[in-house]
Amino acid sequence: MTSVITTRGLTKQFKTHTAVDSLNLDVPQGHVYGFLGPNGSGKSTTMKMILGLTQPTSGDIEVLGEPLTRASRTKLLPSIGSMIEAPPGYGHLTGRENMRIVQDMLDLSTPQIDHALATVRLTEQQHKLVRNYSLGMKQRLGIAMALARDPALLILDEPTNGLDPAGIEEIRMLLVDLAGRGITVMVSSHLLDEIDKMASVLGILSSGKMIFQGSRDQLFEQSVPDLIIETSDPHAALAQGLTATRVPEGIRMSGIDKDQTAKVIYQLAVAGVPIYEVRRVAQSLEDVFMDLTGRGGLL
Amino acid sequence: MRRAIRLEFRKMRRLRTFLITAILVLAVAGLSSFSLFAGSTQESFTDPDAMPWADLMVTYTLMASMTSPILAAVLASRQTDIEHSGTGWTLASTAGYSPGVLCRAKLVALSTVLLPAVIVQSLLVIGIGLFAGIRVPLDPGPWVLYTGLLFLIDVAFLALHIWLAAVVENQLVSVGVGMLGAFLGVFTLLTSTAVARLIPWGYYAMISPIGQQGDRLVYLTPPFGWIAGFLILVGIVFAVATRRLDRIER
Repeated sequence: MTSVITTRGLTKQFKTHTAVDSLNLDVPQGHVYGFLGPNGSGKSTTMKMILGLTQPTSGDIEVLGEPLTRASRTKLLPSIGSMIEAPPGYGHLTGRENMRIVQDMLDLSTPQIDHALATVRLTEQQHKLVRNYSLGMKQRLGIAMALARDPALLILDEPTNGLDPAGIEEIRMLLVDLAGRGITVMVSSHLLDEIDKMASVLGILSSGKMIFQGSRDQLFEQSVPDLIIETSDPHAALAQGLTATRVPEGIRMSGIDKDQTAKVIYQLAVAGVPIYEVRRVAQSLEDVFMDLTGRGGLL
Repeated sequence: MRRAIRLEFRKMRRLRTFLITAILVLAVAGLSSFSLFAGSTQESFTDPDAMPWADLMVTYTLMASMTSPILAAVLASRQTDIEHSGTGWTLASTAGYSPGVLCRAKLVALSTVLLPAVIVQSLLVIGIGLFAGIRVPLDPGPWVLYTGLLFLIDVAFLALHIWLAAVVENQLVSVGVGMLGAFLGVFTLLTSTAVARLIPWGYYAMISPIGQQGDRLVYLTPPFGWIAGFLILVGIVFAVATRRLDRIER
């Protein structure tokens, strides 16, 4: 897979606080890359560094096959659409007038502006003042501004923040559709649910460090679900010196792999403990995520 | 840069920049010529020794010193605040326009609005003087000089307020400094030149081509060296400060 964004050892330090710590990021081409992490984990700072809005303390960034430097940034910017932190938009102007500003800034054609507005379904509302837009409309206008330049790469920082479920679904469908058209989308969120349904590749950040990067299935493999041993005599089972907790159906053990499971079952069987069933706890992606991030404030 | 300036004019739409400027121009012209309609003043309109045009210019200088700092602060603040509220700094940066470029474009755009405004303001004051009945011939030199210098000092304060409004998000600070400047502008008209040249807003007094000799008004040559020095200093500070803005990580 060709990477559209690659970072190596990317670090950003603010006085005594390290916001991003030795980050190695690989965003594959044509995918929706879900960039997850609790609030304050360094997602926005990373995105700002990729866009050249913030200077890294150390490390390298490569975007669309070119090392990001002051000189290359000017060349790269027309190919990168972005929305960082809050959606942009001058409140005293209409959506259309805001788009005209973007058009002038980037020397775009009127059909490009019309197409971007149509893509986010804002054509009908384009003549309304942005200050009268709902949050969802502002987010869509922000995405339209990012899309107008026909980017090869779209970087969106929490684009579904504050949206209702219908708005979230709308943005999700839009981003999946864009990825289908070959645009690489890097989208951040602190809400796992939102990302899970649109991202094909996930990157999880915790306290500035990348703790996981890969597909959804690979993420599941990272975490071993708890083991439930169903027995009518949990006292006898616990008397074998196992590190386990009592549950209504028997005992529950954490962090044991397949080999350890076999040994535990053998030990209990030899001790004459009745075993009715041994199973893994059904695990949601959120459980895996919480497990990885140490329950660091994720919703 | 030309494109950035054109963008600033686009952003001016519905900001009431032209309306605010027009209101203040009319206010300055009106207040400057208010005393012309007093019966005692009108007696001097045909007497060259009474210098009615110089009298009018003294009032004009006072009103301009009082209102110009506020106008500069309000225009700069409105034009810059939209970048904070609309996440415009980031939007522009992702299109290759740094905050420094935006600030310099704002200065050029607002100066373009201010130039005709200052000219119209002076013409209005003269027009009202003629309408009120001043029949002594007008010496245009001091009026042209004062109008030109007033515009340049206004541009200097626009630069200061654009920078301030960009750095401090709370626009009350920029407008508050403008109000303080209005007070200092008037205060320095009443102090010596030595004091006025040390206070930035004192340059509204320094550019006045009218002074008092005994109990008589006289036309003076403003201290061009000091005025040029002030304008150059502001230009350098603005250039350096806006370049530094590019390094602020928002």
